[in-house]
Amino acid sequence: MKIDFAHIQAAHCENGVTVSLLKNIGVEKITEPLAFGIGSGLFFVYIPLLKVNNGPAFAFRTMPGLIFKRTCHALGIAVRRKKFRSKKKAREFLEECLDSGHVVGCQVGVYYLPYFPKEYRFHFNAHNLIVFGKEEGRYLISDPIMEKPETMSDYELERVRFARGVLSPRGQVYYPVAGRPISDGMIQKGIKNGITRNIRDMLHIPGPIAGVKGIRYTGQRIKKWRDSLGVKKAGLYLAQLVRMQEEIGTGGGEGSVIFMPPSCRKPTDIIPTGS
Amino acid sequence: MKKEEVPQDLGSLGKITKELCYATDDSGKYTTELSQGWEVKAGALDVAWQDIEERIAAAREKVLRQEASPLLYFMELKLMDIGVLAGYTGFWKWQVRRHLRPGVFKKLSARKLRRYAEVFDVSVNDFYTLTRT
Repeated sequence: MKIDFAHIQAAHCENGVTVSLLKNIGVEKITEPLAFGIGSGLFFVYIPLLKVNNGPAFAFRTMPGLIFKRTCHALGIAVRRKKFRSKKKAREFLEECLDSGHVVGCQVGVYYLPYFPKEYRFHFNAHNLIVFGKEEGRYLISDPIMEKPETMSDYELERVRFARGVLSPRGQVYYPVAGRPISDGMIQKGIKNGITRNIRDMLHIPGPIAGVKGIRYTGQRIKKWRDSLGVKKAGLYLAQLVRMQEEIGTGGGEGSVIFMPPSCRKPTDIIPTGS
Repeated sequence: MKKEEVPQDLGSLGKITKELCYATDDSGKYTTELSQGWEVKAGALDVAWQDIEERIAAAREKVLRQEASPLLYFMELKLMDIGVLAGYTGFWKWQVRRHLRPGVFKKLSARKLRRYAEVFDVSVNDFYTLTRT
């Protein structure tokens, strides 16, 4: 079985999955920056005490799953989302979805993804991809990071869906359910709400570690790292920051998607005109 | 960033796929451009991998000095920490921590050793030879 589906490459995995899934149910106007904005994807937090891969924890985005959830909510689209305990049930549910013509998004761990280069394989569990069919016993995978669709065997897919560790996906699958048509007004309202929520997240969270205050705080800490941690460890921490920002999908395209100089961009480029 | 300024330094991901970036075209409108990689990112990744290699080497030394069980070496080799290893094996974290002691490791049952070996994708024998696959 193969569902008619166009692979879309995106700067960030969750944006990409959101856009692909929504386009697939007929929301033609959605684009990556739009999904990111409506979902208020931009965020910053630095948690000095929490360690990830032996370095400090940064996040340049909202919690995994929120961009999709908020975008669908703003557009009045129902979402079906399911986690599993049993690997067998997880596989059966996926097959059922594909049989009934639904393209599904999956949360997976990166470490065992067969098509990823070895250098990028860390135990990171908030990656998203789309399964859009099965041919000759292999699942057809659309990973928004990759240029072209990939394939994965039963075992490979099961292993990444049931990756363990922090934020373990537990076979999580999700897909939007097509409902009433999306009007331009809804998108406009969604954008407005998205921006308002983003302002709240970036400016009005109490405490020094989140939002704009968090960026300032991190900057001050970085200056002190060299003295307090020594050159080597400071370098490691800085490398961690760069990787969190540019790779692993936590920030990557996002900063450059949102923070465009206003002079370069007319609102009409992304907001559908009308009314 | 202008479209021509998108970095094109061939990195490890660049050999397999190109990344999507947002950049401006001649008229100042935003559009997308594919990037092969960026040396700053490659540098950061190198630093991270160097650290991992050092950790693996340090773990190996510790095992050889009988200060830790071979599980530590394989845990570092597979980039795991105690939480991840506990998740994959199904043991509790405190059990894994205990199994990392050489004395306790020696008394582990064959079944438990097999469970670890499966998770690490090695044979039980590799635990004693510390072969790297």
